[in-house]
Amino acid sequence: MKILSILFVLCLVSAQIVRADTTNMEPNSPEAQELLAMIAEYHLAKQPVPLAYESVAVQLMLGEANYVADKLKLPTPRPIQPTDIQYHYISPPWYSMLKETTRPYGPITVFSNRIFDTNIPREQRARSFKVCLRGTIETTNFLFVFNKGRLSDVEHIAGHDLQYYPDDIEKLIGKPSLINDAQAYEIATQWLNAVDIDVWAMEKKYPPQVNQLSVLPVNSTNVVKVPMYFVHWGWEHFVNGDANHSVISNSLVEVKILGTTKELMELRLPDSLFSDTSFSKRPSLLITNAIDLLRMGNPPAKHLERLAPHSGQNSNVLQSP
Amino acid sequence: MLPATRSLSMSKSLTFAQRAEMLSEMISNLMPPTITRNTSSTLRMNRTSPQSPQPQPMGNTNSTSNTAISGTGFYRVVRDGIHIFGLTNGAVLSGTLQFPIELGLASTDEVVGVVFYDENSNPIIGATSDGSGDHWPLTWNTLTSANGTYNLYVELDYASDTPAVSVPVSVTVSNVISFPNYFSQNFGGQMWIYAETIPNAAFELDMYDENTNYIGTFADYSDANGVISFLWDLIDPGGSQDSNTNFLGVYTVDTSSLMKVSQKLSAQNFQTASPAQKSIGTKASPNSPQPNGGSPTAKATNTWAIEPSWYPTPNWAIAYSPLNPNDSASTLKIEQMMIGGPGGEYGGVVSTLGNYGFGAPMSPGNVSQSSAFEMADPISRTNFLTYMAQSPYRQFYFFGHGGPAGFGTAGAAISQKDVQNDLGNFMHTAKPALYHPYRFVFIDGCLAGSGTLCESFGIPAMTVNTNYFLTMGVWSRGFLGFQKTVSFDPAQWTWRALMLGGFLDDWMATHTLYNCMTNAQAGGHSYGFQPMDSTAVIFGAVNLRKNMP
Repeated sequence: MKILSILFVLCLVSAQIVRADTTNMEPNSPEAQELLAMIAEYHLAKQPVPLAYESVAVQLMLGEANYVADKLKLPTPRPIQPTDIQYHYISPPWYSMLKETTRPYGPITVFSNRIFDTNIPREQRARSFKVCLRGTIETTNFLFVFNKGRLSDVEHIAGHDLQYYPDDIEKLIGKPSLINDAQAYEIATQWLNAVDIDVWAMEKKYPPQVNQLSVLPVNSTNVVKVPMYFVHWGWEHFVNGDANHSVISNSLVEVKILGTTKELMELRLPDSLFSDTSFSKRPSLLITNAIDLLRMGNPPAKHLERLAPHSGQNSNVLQSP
Repeated sequence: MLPATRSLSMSKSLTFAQRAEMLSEMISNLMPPTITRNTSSTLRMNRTSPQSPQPQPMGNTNSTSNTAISGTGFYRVVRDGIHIFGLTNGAVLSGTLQFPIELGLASTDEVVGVVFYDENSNPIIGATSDGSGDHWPLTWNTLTSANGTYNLYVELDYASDTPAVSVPVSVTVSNVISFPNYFSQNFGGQMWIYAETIPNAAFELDMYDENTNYIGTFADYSDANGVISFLWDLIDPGGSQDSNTNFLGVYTVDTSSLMKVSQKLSAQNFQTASPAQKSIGTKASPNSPQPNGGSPTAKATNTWAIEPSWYPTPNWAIAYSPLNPNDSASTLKIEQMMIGGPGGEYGGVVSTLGNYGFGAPMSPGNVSQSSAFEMADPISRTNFLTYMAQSPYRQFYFFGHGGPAGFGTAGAAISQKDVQNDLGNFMHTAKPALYHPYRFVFIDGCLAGSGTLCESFGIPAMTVNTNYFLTMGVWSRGFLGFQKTVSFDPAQWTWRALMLGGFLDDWMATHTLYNCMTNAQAGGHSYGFQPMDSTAVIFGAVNLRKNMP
């Protein structure tokens, strides 16, 4: 038993040594060069991604967006059809694969720290990458953002790259709110639960806060609250430059609600590379055949040719078959 | 949380001319004697670098001077290097000041500019130097600096040579009324009126239009921190929207309680906290504050200018400069980094942003998977400046030599002044104007974040959040630069291309600028290699997102 324990400890130590070797990898080491070779061979960091990859990614995002739109009963035509997508963006796989959250932020694979070991066939290693969904799709009035394979933001928008916000916030002055702070919190937690966020676990770490937007009407000295609610959990702190600059905080999780209609304005979850996403119980959407899709070259481009009309045929008129 | 909006109340007291006269008198009472001197210098081989604050031998033996040394304790130490003449340790400053700068330097390299910063490389707001050749006087509008003590360094930047840095001078800025939230001089849909003064002091602010016609008056008390902060919705006393594009305001503050407060006036940090919302009285009201009611007063003026309407289009102005024009091998690696390597396989800048990627329109010379614009001679410099000034370009990336007051390379350097003039962004003038602000600027070179270079792009040299800009009804904006010297290893261009590609990919994936920066600083997209330098600093909104207002 004692020998077994010693062997176990030795195994642990040797594993740590191997890990340390990988962590301290030099940029010109064979392993690092193998990483670069893989990035180039499989076009892992190249824009644009092939059409096949793009198509699969958009399809996955659309599916998840529809799940969320249904759960949140978003005021947008449902199901969202491919033709409803006004704009989309897909990250290349290198920037979207699951990675460790500690330096050197290597890919999480079954090969662990041997992922760049050339003794293992490259193809086998490449297929072990867990390529997640990362990108955005926009309909005419909603933006869906995906990170690490999960939805990280759904936002009511006024147009491409334009957050929805009433053009004139004063229009909300005097409008009765259908909810109060407590109800705003209730709605926010219902929405989070609906999209499979473990609110209970989240609140153990980050207590909630509810704020209501206040404005001062024209020609008035009395601040009034308008029916726009912000329910948020946790803060991330921005330490700028050499830390001698100001530190600013930003909420980690936020739900914005328009009180006049109880509509969702935004639901935002942590999206940093290092964010804790364990509160989400949604599965991380993976592009399982990413390597195959990346290998598929785009079909060749062709130019339309104007054929000479047959005798007696009017080239400007569509002919029946 | 936004500050309260305010409406102007109509009242009448003194004419503008009377106020201007009083203001002039007040300023002359507050300001210490200004010293001017004509300087000509011969150049010496000694190059300065930050040194201990010991007097150094003066190098400019051929200098001439008509300086009248005042009786404020100034003494002249003859030194080489770069020095602010007439500014001594322990000086207490207020108002707008001018000091000559002595140069005793050997380099014949092109001078890009002179910048001023403190011991933490934070820029000294309001300190500018608009000169040429060996004449670079310091003009410091201390009203835009927060009250307090500063260790002031002056740095002269060359197009490619190592900058010359002075020994620090410790001075104290003390103004009864100051405007450290200087960016609020610009306004969009509404105006943010902000000043710092004596806590709980009665104040009056008389507003004048661009033709110096009196409009109306705000009257109230500063808060417990001495802050005057509120929004003016630009509705005039008659109830209609004021269409003026420029305003002048004359503050009058009751200073009877001045002796009760400490020398260093406390101030609310507007950069991190939303301005307080508080009621404002009117002179028409019997209970309104009366700063002119027989108590001693202080006066100061501030000006505001509208920011012309614009939209943050996704067009990028992109360029790089060789680090060593004689080293074609390293220049080739820089170009590869910009492109992301053959076919854009390693991300890079233009292939990540370009037509093959996100389809962001890029300035001429930048073609995805093919080429990046090289700024290496006067013609390409002129061309790039022209592109930058074209209306659609609101995003900016540059790689190459940088400094607090410019970027580029010898023979092709673009100074802060060039950008300011060509874009029409003026922040520290009597009549501020931002004609071509940028949405996002990343200068990937040394020290670009240690000065006020960002201001020439219409971005304030302070760290704020998006609410700050929304308060003024203008688009949020951000600037990324480095506070220290950074390096480029040509052998590692692939990793750096991956880092940059990841940074821009994060940006396009609507991460906050702060997250984009920290991910890159961790080397999160480049396997820990070639991380973004840790001295990266964001000016403007740290929580800026691509799709934020």
